[in-house]
Amino acid sequence: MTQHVPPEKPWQAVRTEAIESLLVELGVIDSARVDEIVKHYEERVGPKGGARVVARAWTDPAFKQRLLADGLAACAELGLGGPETEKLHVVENTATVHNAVVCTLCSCYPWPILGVPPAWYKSSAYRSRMVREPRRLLAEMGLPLDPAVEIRVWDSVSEIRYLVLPERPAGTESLTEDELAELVSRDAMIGVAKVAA
Amino acid sequence: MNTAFDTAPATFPTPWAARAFAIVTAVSQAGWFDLKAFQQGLIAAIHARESAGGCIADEAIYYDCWIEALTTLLRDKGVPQARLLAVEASIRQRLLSLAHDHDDDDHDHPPQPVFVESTQ
Repeated sequence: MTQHVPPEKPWQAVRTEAIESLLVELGVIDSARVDEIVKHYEERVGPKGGARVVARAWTDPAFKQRLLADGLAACAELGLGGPETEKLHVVENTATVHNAVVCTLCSCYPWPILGVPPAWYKSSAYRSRMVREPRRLLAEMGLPLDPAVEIRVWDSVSEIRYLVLPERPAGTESLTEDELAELVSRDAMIGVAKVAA
Repeated sequence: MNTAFDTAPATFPTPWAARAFAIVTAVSQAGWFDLKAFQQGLIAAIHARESAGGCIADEAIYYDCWIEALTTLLRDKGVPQARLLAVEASIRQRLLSLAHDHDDDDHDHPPQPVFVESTQ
C-alpha cells in the first residue's frame, strides 16, 4: 500500500503563498497575472533572444551601430524587452578588449534579453572575485585570456544592465543569421566565454 | 564553479522562487512599489547575510534573500507583520488538515480501483 505523505512545505513556500494571498486581498495583484509572468519567464524568455540580437549585429552593421548606441531600442526591433530593464548598454569584444558583466551588489541582469540568470552569477564568489581578479576567475571558468588582452568588468545596477557583444568567430562567413545565433551562448553574452564556430 | 555552455533558459530552482519573482514583477507593474525599492531591499538582505559571514553559495540562499526583501517591503508599505503571520498560520493549518485527511483515507479505507468493468 502506498502512503501519501505530503512533503513538509518549506517556510519560503508558505511565506510566498501568504504574501501573494495578502496582495490579492489588498487588490494589488491578481494570481492570474502572477501565473502569466511565471509562464513567460519559464517558457518564452531565455538567452536565445540575446543570441538573435548578437547574430543580427554580426550580419547587419547598421543594426550593430544602433545596438551600441541604444541597446534597449535595438532589442525592441526584434521584439525583446520589458519593464525589468531601463537601459541596456552593449559592450563589444575585440581582439584586444574583453568585456565581462557582474552585479556586485545583488543580481542585476538583463532578464528580458537573457532570461533567468544562472546560479553562479548570483554567487558571492563570482560577484566578489570578478572585480578583484577577473583574469584568474575567467581562466578558472574555462576562458584563459592572453595577458595582452585588456579586461573590462561592468557592474550592473538597477538603472543600467549590460550585454556583451562577443567577437564573431572566424570561419563563419557562410552561415546564416539563424545559424550564427545557434552558436551564441548565454555565457558569451555575460563575458565568461567566447563563441566558438 | 559550473559555467557549462548552455543556451537553454535557466530555470527557477523551486516553484516558490518562480512565484516570488513573478509577485515582485506583478507588484511593480501594478505600481504598488518601485522595482528599485525592491532591489534596494534585496541588496540589503544579501549584504546582511554576507557581512554576517555567510555567503550566497546557491540558488536557495539567494531566493531566501528575495523573500526577506519582499517581506521587509511589505512591512514598509504598512502591511502589519502580524497579519502576514496570521495568513501563514492559516496556510499551515490547511496543509495540516489536508495531511490528516490523507492519513484517514489511508488508514480507514483500503485502496480502491478507479474503474471496474463487470464480467459478462
